[in-house]
Amino acid sequence: MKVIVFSDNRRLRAAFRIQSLDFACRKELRRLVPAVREPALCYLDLAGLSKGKLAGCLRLLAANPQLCYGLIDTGRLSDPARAFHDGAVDYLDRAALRKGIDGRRLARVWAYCRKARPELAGREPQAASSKAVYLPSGPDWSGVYPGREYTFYLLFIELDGKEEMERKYGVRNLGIALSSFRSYIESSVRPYQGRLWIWSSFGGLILFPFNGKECPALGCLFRLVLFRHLYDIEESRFPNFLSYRLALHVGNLVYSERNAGSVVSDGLNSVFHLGQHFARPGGFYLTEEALRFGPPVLRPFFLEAGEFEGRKILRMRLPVHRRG
Amino acid sequence: MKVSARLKNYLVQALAQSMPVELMEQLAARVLPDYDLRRQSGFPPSIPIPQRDAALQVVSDVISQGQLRSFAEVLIDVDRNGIMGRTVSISQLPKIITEIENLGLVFKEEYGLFMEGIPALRSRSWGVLREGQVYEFSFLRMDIADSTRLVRKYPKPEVLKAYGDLHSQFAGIVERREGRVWHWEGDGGIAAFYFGAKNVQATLAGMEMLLELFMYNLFRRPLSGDLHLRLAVHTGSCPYLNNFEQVRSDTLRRLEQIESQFTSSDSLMISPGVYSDMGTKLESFFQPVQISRRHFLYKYQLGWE
Repeated sequence: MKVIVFSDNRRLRAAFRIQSLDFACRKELRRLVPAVREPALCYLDLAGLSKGKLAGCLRLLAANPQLCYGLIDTGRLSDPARAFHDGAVDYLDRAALRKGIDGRRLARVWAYCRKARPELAGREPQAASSKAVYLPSGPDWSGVYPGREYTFYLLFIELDGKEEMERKYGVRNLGIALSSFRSYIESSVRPYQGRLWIWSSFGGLILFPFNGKECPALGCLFRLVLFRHLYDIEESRFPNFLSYRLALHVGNLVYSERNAGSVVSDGLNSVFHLGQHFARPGGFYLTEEALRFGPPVLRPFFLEAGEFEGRKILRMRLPVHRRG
Repeated sequence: MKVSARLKNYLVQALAQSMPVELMEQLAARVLPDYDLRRQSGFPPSIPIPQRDAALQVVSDVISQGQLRSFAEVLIDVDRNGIMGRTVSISQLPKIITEIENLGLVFKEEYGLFMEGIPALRSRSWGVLREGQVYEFSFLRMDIADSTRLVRKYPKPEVLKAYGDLHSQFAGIVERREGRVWHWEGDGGIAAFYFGAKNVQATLAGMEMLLELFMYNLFRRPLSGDLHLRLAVHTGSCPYLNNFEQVRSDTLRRLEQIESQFTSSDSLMISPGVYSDMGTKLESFFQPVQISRRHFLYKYQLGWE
C-alpha cells in the first residue's frame, strides 16, 4: 500500500515512522491525485486551508477510486466525526502526531479501508519493492511475538478445481476429504517450522520463519511436490489424483495470532496474487527473492516463468512419475 | 509372555459369562489343535463341566501352551464377527486388550492381531511367525549401486555414514508400513511384508525410498557424488527362520535376480504377481518392461519434465 502525505509542513514527515512514504506539497494535490493508479492512502494536512479550498481538495481525493484519505488536523475541525461521514478513513490530531504514525496503525487503517471499500482488496500494489528490508524472524518460532513485524517465507497453497469438487462430492464427503488434506499439509510443514496461518477449506497460507540466510522451506516444498502421489494413494480421501498450486515468496508482515485475515502486507498480497492469478494448476511458483536463499544446487530445478507484479517468477520443473 | 493374575481372571470371567462350555472348547481348538476339554479337565463324560471350571481349564491350557495372545485375538474376532452366523458378545474384552497392551503389544484393528508396539521390542517375526513354518510374504530388496567404486573413491568413514543414513531411512520407511528388515549387509538389504495389502505396502516403501534418496542427494549430499539405488519387489512363499542365513527360498532367489539383472539404477522393479495387486491409481506409475519373449516386469522411476 502506498502512503502519500500532502502538507506544506516538512516537519510532519518525522511523525510518520515508516520507510516508504511519499511526501508532497499541498499545491501538488491537483496534479498528483488524478495520476495515482494503485491503491493508496493519502493524508491531507488541513492547516491553513480555507473552507472552499478544503471542499475542493476533498472532492478531488474522493474522485479517484484508488484512494482512501485521512485528515491531519491540529484543531481546525470542530466535529471530526463529520469527516468520517463524508468518506475519510483516518484522523490524525496533535496527540496522534506526537505519538507517531507507525506501520501498525497504517495496517489497521488499511484493513478498515478494505472493509469499507472491498473493491480495493483486489487492486493491491502492482510493483515489487526493489529495496527489500528483511527483519529475520529467526530459525524457529521462539523469537516471534504477536504485534511485531518480521520477515517470513510465505507459502500459498490451494487445491485446483474446487468448483468441480463442490459439484461432484457431497458436502459431507468433501468436508472429510478437505480436513484430511489440511492434516496432511499441517504434518508436512511442521518439521520445517511451518505454521498454518490462514486456512479456508481448499487451502491457505503457511508461514515459515526466516533466519536471514537460508530457506529450509524449499526442502518442504520439494516434498510437497515429490511425495504428493504417495499421499494420494495412501491417505487422500479424494477419489481422484489431487492437484494443488503452490506459491512461495519472502516478505514482511506484522505477526498476529488471531485475525490474520486483516493483516496488511505487500508480501502477503503478492503471494496470494501469485498463487491465485499467476500459478497454473499443479504448479509450484516462487519469486526470485525466495529462491535466492536456497542452495545453488536447486537452481536447475526451476525455470523462468515470466514477471508478475514487477517480480521475476520461477516455476519448479515437475517430477514425472506416471506413465503416459 | 508373563501373564498377570488379573489378566487371567479377566479371561476366565470373559469365557464364563459369555458362552457355553461347548463354544469355549471350540474356540480353544482354534489355537490348540485337537483340544479336548474333558481330557484336560478330567471330568467324566457323564458329568457336565461347570462353566467356571471349564473357563479356568481353557485359560490355563492356553497360557501354558503360550497361546494367550492368539486366543485373545480369537475372542476379539468372535466378538466382532460372531461365529457361524451367531453373534457372541464377549464381556471384559476392553480390559483384556488393555492388559495385553500393557505387556508392550498393540492391537491392530486392520489385521485383528496384537503386534509389537514398542520399537525396541520389534522382532523380525512381528512376534507372530513361527520358526520353520512357511508363509506368503512380499519382499523388498534394496541395493546401493556401484558400492565397490564408492568404497574405493571416498574415505571409509564417509561411506559408512552415508550407508548408515540409507539403512535408517530404509528401516523407518519399512516399519512405518508394518514391514520388517530381515537382512542388512552394509550396502543393501531385504525387508519382508506379511500383513494386509503386503504387495502394495512393499511397493510404496520402495517408491518412497527412491524419493527419499533424491532428497538425500539434493539436500544432504554426504559424498561429493550422488548415491544410487536399485530396488525390487517380489511376492511368494518363504519359510520363516530366526537365522536368515539359513533361509532357502525360490522367492528370495527370484527377488535377487530381478534386482541384480533387470533393475536399472535409481528405479524400482516389481514382479507381475505384485503388479496385479496395485489397483488403478498405483499401477499408473509403472511401465511394463519385457525381459523375455513371454515375461514382463514393471518399472517405476522418478523423472523430470
